[in-house]
Amino acid sequence: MKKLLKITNFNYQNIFHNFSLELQEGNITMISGNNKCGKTTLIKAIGQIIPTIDTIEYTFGDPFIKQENIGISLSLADDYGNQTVLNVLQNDEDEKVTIAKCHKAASFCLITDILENKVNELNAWDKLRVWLAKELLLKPKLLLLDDPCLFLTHDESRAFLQLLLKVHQKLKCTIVMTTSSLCDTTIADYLYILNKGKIVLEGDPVAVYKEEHILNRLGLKIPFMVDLSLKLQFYNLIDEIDLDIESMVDDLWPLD
Amino acid sequence: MAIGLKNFSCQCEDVKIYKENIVIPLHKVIGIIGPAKSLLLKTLNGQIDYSGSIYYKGQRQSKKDTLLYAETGYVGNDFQYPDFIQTVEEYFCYLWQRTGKTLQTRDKKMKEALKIVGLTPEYFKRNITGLSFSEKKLVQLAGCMLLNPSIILLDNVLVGFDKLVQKRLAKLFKLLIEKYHKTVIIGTSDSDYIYQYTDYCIILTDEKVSQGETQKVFEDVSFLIKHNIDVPEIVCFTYLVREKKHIKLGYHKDVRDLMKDIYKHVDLKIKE
Repeated sequence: MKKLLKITNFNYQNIFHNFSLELQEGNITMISGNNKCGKTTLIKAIGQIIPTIDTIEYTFGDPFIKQENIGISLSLADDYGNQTVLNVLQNDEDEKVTIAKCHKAASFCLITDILENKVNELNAWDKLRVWLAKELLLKPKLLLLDDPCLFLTHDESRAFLQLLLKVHQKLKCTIVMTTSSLCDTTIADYLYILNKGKIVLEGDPVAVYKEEHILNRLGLKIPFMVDLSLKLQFYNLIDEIDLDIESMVDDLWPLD
Repeated sequence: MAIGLKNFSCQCEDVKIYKENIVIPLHKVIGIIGPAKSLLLKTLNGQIDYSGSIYYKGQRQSKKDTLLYAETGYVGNDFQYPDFIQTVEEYFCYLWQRTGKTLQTRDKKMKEALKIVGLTPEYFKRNITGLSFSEKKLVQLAGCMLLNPSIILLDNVLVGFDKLVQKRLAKLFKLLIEKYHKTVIIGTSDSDYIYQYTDYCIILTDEKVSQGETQKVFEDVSFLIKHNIDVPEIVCFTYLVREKKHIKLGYHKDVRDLMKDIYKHVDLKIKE
């Protein structure tokens, strides 16, 4: 797999000291960790929102010149002003997007019923979908999301992650997302766990979840179904991790 | 001892509570879920007008300058403070000044308030804008502790805290209730947190209010599903086993207890 960006010896305030990381093109990479581990700072660095002084090398060029290469959603900073959803989708810096394209993107993100609503009056769940629809139109190579599920209910989070997967498949872009909840990381191709600005665990999410003691020490809650699966596996009641409640119940009581 | 809301209605934008009777017991950790949770918390703090009656400490409260408003401390989702405030210390001094209390105990109380939420005195010199999301929430909570209210209203405050902080706060709330006889009312959409850490729960849906001991309220899974309330996965698992397999697993809070229960009910011969 091709490399999308490389961070080498990144230093920032008291959090990061000689931090290095590589992101692979086309992956969904998630970064999780306890409070104050540096995940938001890291995603700001990747999005060039904080100074990185030549420590990040982008294989697709200079993100300052081609702004459309990076789509950034910092969950606490999104502000579209007093515009309607349709206006937000239509207005691009260079050209006006056709209404037909806006409707197509809106339909993909299931927001056709709120196109005439003002963005600043929407709830967190609607705003996120508007942002995704906007990114669908801009077609960035890299999507950055900072804890997008923070203000969503569990059901909304699950629906958002499924939508994000669909957008990923459609745009064939790279996604980097931070999250404070490991429950959001089940769709990731690769997962990093940070603690005090250092990578303490990385790899396939399921492999990371198995490091239960480290995750517990860091204050990270393993997704319930993973936790239960690992315990049932220990007693030889199931063979592998199962994230679906119904299929696990059928597996445990096949004859009923 | 309870706060009683009779024939109670209030509305903000498209969210409303209409002619409901709600009982909020005192000296407990109370969880509130549902679209109208913020509305109820703000009303208890006097920020939103209502119709109907509110009873507190045996008295019907008037709509202005009530005892209830005076005894509640509200921590909301937005951290609001005047423009001239820069550091955490300035914010605390500002809060203290508004209480009208003597300066003699101020510094001690300010340190205690920070300590109780797990922050060190070094935070006094920190600029509020430079704090992380979770640090801001803890500073807000400490500010509320400084004012020493009898009823602490937490409106979506627990969002974004890791498990260690959540557990520490749950212990703090328990301590506040057992030692200082406070009441903590938590509004959140995190039904897992409510299920794990609260004694009493109120679910405010568009049509109906469900209230009672948390365990009992969450065992009514069909009600939760019908009203689009997130069902904690540990509850969902038991519910599915009961419904689909007719096996009476118990409703547990700890996955280890659920595990033991599963082990008892699984036919090991079939598994082999």
